[in-house]
Parts: sequence; C-alpha cells; structure tokens
Amino acid sequence: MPKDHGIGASSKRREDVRFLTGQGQYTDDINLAGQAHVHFLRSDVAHGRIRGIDTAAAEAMPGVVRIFTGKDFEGIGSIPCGWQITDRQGNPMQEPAHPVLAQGKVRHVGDPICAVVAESRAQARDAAEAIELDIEALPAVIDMKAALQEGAPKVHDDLKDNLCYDWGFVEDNREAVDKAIREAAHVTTLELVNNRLVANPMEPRVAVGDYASHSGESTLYTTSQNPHVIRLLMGAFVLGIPEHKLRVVAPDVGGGFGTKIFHYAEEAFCTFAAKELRRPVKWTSTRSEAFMSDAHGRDHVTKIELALDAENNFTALRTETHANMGAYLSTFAPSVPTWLHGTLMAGNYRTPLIYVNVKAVFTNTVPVDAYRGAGRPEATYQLERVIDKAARELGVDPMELRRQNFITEFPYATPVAVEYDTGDYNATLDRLKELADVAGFEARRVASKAKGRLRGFGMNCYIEACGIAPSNLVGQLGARAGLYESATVRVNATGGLVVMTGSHSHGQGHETTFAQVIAEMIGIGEDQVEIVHGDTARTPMGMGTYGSRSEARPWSVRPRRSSTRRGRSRPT
Amino acid sequence: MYAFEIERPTELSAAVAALKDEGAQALGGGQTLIPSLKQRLAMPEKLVSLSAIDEIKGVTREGDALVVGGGATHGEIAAAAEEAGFRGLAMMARQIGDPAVRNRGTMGGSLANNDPSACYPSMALATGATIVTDRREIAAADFFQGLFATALEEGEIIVRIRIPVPAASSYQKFAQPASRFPLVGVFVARTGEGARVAVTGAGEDGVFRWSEAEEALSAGWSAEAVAGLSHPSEGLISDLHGTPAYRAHLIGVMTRRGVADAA
Repeated sequence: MPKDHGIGASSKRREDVRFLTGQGQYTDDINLAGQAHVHFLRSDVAHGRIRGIDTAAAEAMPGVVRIFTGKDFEGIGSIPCGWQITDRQGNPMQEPAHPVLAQGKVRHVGDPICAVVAESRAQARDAAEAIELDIEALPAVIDMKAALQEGAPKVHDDLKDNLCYDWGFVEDNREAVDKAIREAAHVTTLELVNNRLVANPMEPRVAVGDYASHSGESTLYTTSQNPHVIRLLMGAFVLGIPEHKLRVVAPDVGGGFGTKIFHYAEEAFCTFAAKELRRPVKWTSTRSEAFMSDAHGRDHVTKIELALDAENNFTALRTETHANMGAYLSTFAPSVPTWLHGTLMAGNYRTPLIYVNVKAVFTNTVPVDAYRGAGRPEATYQLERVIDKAARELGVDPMELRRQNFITEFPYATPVAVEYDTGDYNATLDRLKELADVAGFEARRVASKAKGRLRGFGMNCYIEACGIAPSNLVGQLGARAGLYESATVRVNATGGLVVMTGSHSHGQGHETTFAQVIAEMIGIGEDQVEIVHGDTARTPMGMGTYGSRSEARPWSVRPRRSSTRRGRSRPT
Repeated sequence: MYAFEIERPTELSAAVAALKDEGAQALGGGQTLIPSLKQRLAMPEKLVSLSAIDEIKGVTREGDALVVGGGATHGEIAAAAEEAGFRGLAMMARQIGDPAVRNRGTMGGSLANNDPSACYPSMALATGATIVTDRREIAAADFFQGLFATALEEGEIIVRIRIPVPAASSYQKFAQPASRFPLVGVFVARTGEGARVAVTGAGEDGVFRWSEAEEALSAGWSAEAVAGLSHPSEGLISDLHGTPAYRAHLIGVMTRRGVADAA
C-alpha cells in the first residue's frame, strides 16, 4: 500500500498553492518605502580602455538621484572567488581583481561601467543613454587557444598571461599514463567541444538593498540559492560589513540552475548604494541583461584519448581540457573543471591509469561558473563519447565494451581519488537492455527505414558525486569556506515545530519533503511542521542549495537533530 | 520602452486620420512592435491601435476567395481556413508562434511588417492574393519589396486580404526551434494560373517564387516532378542558424514534402 503520510508518501507540494495562485513572494515583489531604482550602463565592446566618462548631462535628467562609476568603488573590495586551485607546479592560480563597477578597462560585453540611480526605472534608463562614454576598443580574445598564444591581448594587464591555472590530476600518474598510451594495442582519440550556454532561469535576477540608519544594519533581498554565502562573500570581502550587521534574504526564487549561487556585482552595488543614499535601491534584470551578466555554463574544449589492450580492456585515459573562465573568476568557477570534473573521469569503468589536464583560460567573455551538474556532465560526455568511438573503431558492441570494463568489485578506489562504496552496473545494464528492448532494435530500425525514416540507438552510463562535502575535505581541495549545513528545530509553546534550515528551495519542493521527514521522525502530522529558509536572520548558519547537496547534507543533519530533540546542530 | 501616446479608434477613417500625425505608428497585434518597444529599438510618439476597429476583423468566404480581415488573428484564421478546406493556410496559421501569439498576432500586421522569416508572405505570393487597404488594392506580386519593405505608403492600413483558395495547397515550415520562425518555409499551391511555389525565411530580399519548380509542377503535379531540382544558394540568407547551401537544400526538401502533402 502506498503511504499517505511521511517519508515516501506522494503528497501535493504545499508551496505550489502560493505559486499557482500568484501569491509567491519573489524578490521583485518586494518594494520598500522611498525606494530608488538603478540601471547599469554596460559595455557594448568585449575589451576596451575607459578614457573618459561624462555624466554631467545625465545627472541633469529628470529623476536622477546619483550616478556611480568605478571611481566610487576604488576603496571597496573586489568580488571574491570562493575556490583556489593549485597548479601543476604547486603555485596558486592567477586571480584577477573584479571590481563592482569597471575600473580602467571593460573586459566583456555586459561589464557594468556606470550605475544610474533614479526615482524610476525608466528615468534611470533614460539618463544612462545621456552618459557620454569615451572607450577605446581593444583587440579582444574569445578563443581559448588564441588567448594562450604568445603576444595575445591580455584580459588583465597586471597578470602574467591569460592562463588562470594549468592543473594536473593526478600529477603523479602523468608519466605512467603517457607510457601506457604509447604502448597500447589501440588508442582512440576524440576532440570535442562542450559548448557555452546561458542558464536563463524563468525569474531574472533582482536585488534590493536597504540600510537602517538607526541600527547600522544593511539588508539585501536577492534572487539567490544561498543567502548565507552571499552574506559571507559580500560582507567579509567586498563591503566589509560584519556578519551581525548584514541580513540577506532570498525569498521565493524562480529557478536557479547554478547561476544564482554566485555573488554578483549588482548585489554589492544595491547594498552599498542604499547606505550611501540612505534609501532603498532596487535592480531588476531584463532578460537581455541576464544573457550578459548571469554567469554562463560549460565552455570546455577537450581532447580525450582512451588506450585499450589487445583484449579491449581499458588501460589508460588521458584528457586535455581548455576551460573558459570568462573575463573574471566567478564564485566557484575554478572548482568546476577541476575537482567537480577530474574526479568523475573514471566513470563506471576499471581504468587503472587516468590523467586529467585542465588549462583554465581568461577571455573577453561573460564569466563561466557552475551550471546543472557543473563539470560532472562534461566529464561523462567526454568519456562516454570516446568509448562509443572506440567501439566503432574496433567493431565491437558499445554496450558490451562498456560491460567488459565495468567495475564489478566494491569498494573500488578509482585512480582519480574517489572510492565507490557499492554498485551493480551489470544488473543495471541488463535491466536497461530489457526495458529498451535492445534485442528488438534491429527489427524496428528496418521497419523505420522502410518508411523512409532513420532510427538510431544511443546509450551511456553515468555516475555522479553529489553533496560536495565535508568541510574538511573541500578545504583541502581549495574551498575558501566550509560546505557544512545546519538546521534549528524550534518547538512552539502553542504546539507544532518550526524547522529553520540553511539550505534553500528554488523549485525543489523542500517545504514539502523536509516536513515529511521531520513529521515521521518526530511522530507528528506534517501540518504541524513549518519549514523556514532563505533568511539569514531566521537561520543563523547555512550554506544553501547547489551540487545536489540539500538531501545529502541537511538531511543527514535534520533527522539526527529531530530524533534527539536537542538544540542546534553542529557544522559537520 | 520610451514614453508614447496611444489612441484606440473604433472607425477606420479615424485611424487613418490619427496616423497622419508626425511620429504616429499603427499597432496591430503587437507581436513584433511591442518587443521592439521594450528593447527601445523603436520610439514612436504615438501608437494608433487597430484592435478596436470592427471593419478590419473577421474572415469570410466570398465565392472562390477567402477574405481575411487585416485585424483577424492567426487563431481565427486557422479555424476559418480549416472550415473552408484551405489546407495550406490552416497549416500555416496554426503553426505560428504559440497560443498566446496566435490570439494576438494578425495577418495585416505580419504582411505590413514583411519580416523575411514571416510565414504569410509566402502564402500571399503563391496564391496571388490581393491586399486591400484603406485607399487601394495591391497585388501580392507588387506588395513585397525586400526586407521589411512593402508597397504601403505612410499611414496606409491593410483592411483585408482577398485570397483565391487554391485547388490544393500545403505549407511546410522547417522551424528554427527557439523562435518557431521558419528557417525555411515553402508554400505550394495549385492555382488556376498554374503551380506556385513561394519561399520564405531564405531569401536575402525576403519572400520569392521558385520559378523552376513552378514550371516543373505545372507540367505535372507530383513530388517526382521536383525530385531532381535543386535551388541555387546564391542570394540566400547566411546566419548563425544556417548557411545558404543549407537553406537551398531545405527549399528542395520542403517543396517536395509540400507537393506530396497537397497531392
């Protein structure tokens, strides 16, 4: 009998009532008394030197409150990167400054140059058109390999070159991998592009900054997957606001897909300007602006080589990937092509030797960061494509080539630092062949051909690491903050529970599923459990939602807390 | 969007008068104009909405012709064409955009805009339609004059489009998946004056007729008649979605499919 209550029950999502009846409370629904609006004047060239900005005419336009430029942010911190990669020589990655508003140069189309604050959005936009910009367009680098050539235009004049890092994993395997490939019975080589894309969530980004003069507290309302991360990055690194004087609220969020993890210039600007002007400042991105200012995804160019012995056993795998960072380092960008990608290169297969080389490159393009799976789909795509190509070259069944090389004994330590505790890939493949009626495919293909249609067959295997943690490990890998999670359970004097969680829901349905778990653990009705998230003032600690972590991390905290009915959880 | 005035006359004559003002612009279903305004690509001082003028609405059958009001929406047109057994037009109208677009967008607006990737110009050209305005009648062959250019004068309004219903017709659209606009669209028609093949989405100068295919089909209406023909790639659009050679190939494929469908 299906359950009608608690874990595993199929219940309607409680949050959908407000979403479907137009009662959701999104950041753009927040309008504060006395609020002003900002419009960002953005670069329309990919690379240029700012020779002059004349705002005199624009300042005289109706409704203009103030126009900010890079000069206003000279003493202000740089937008930080949250992950440091160490290169093959043991040196830290090259890390450029990332000002809130461009200083000296613009480095990608969409790089914000001026921020016009006015009484209305339309007035701000009108005034922005009256700003006289004198920008000398410079040669731009878009292609990663061209960016690494001697004499290529430099995205950042103060860096050595356009190479962010040259990463080897596992560096100690390098020579053995090279040797195995030289001596292999067969080597299949594939070059492929994992194209850049725009996350494009339904709700564009919005930020509302507010400042309370009486208490000296700043509040930022923002479209974020992780308000606590924004509090940390913006408070500690950009604006220098102590944690207890900064509240970040991420209410209902209309889709994230990764691009709402990161800390953006517009958030820092609205928080900063609200204090400067002593009035709330709001920014709502347009769809067109989102394409130029939300961090993009993927953009890898890869050469992958798979070595096999005479019996078609995989003996070694070598990859060389160029990963586009864009013009600046977005919050988690360096981790995506490295730890989130290299560690997945073994896939489901028993390949004894693996070496992954990644060159991260600065170009005059919109920054690239984590997007849906972030590095892991890229790894799987390369690996599965090269296996298919090998099967074609060797004239063997691609499914059976996979099966022959499956890991069958667990636990299994891959040569790329991950241990698989359990699995049965043969059973999964058998079931797949049955469900997809692989045996009947040839007959279906012939039948289609008779009707003038082409029928194809493709399959691939996939293994993914989720819930990036614990803090101790990610710290060793270069994360600049712990990736813990927390929850507080409060028993109300009037009955019922409130669970305050640091993870954030932007489509996942946490309010329903978390309540199911708590209700079952405590033994009360789901309607007695209220889930609170998305406000640093109500949940003191947390790290938010990304990398499929909300189940792996907070779940492991919450049931334990609930079953012991004790106080606040400790970071793990 | 920049600030503008808006008028919503209920009489055609009032709309014509309102459009005489400096900086005035007619607003049909707004499916192109409103997005352009939002992006600040257009800055009319005054919009004259045609949506309240009854005499440019509706679709009627008059003898062998279907008469479509300039303000009739794609949704209405699809239903009326279906009922009239006008297969090519029904296929075309029901494939434009999505339901929201089809409930707002109009044939008059689309023809007046003459987007090189719009669907209707190919139908108008292939059927030998007549565009009736507030002041004259214009044959489709004279109406389309290049990218976004038509024979319409300043302030001239399309009142109705008189379309001789072909004996057989089909519209084959190879849609660009994001915009649903045709990468190549081909309208084929068997008319009293012979076979007609009009192509949209492909020409650098907008919609055009493929005379070689028309001749072959006039001799015998069958997919085999055009099987060996290939359209030259000269003069075809090259953009991010396809090369001229790719579009030329699609013209052949879509034509053959259309003829087979309308057989």
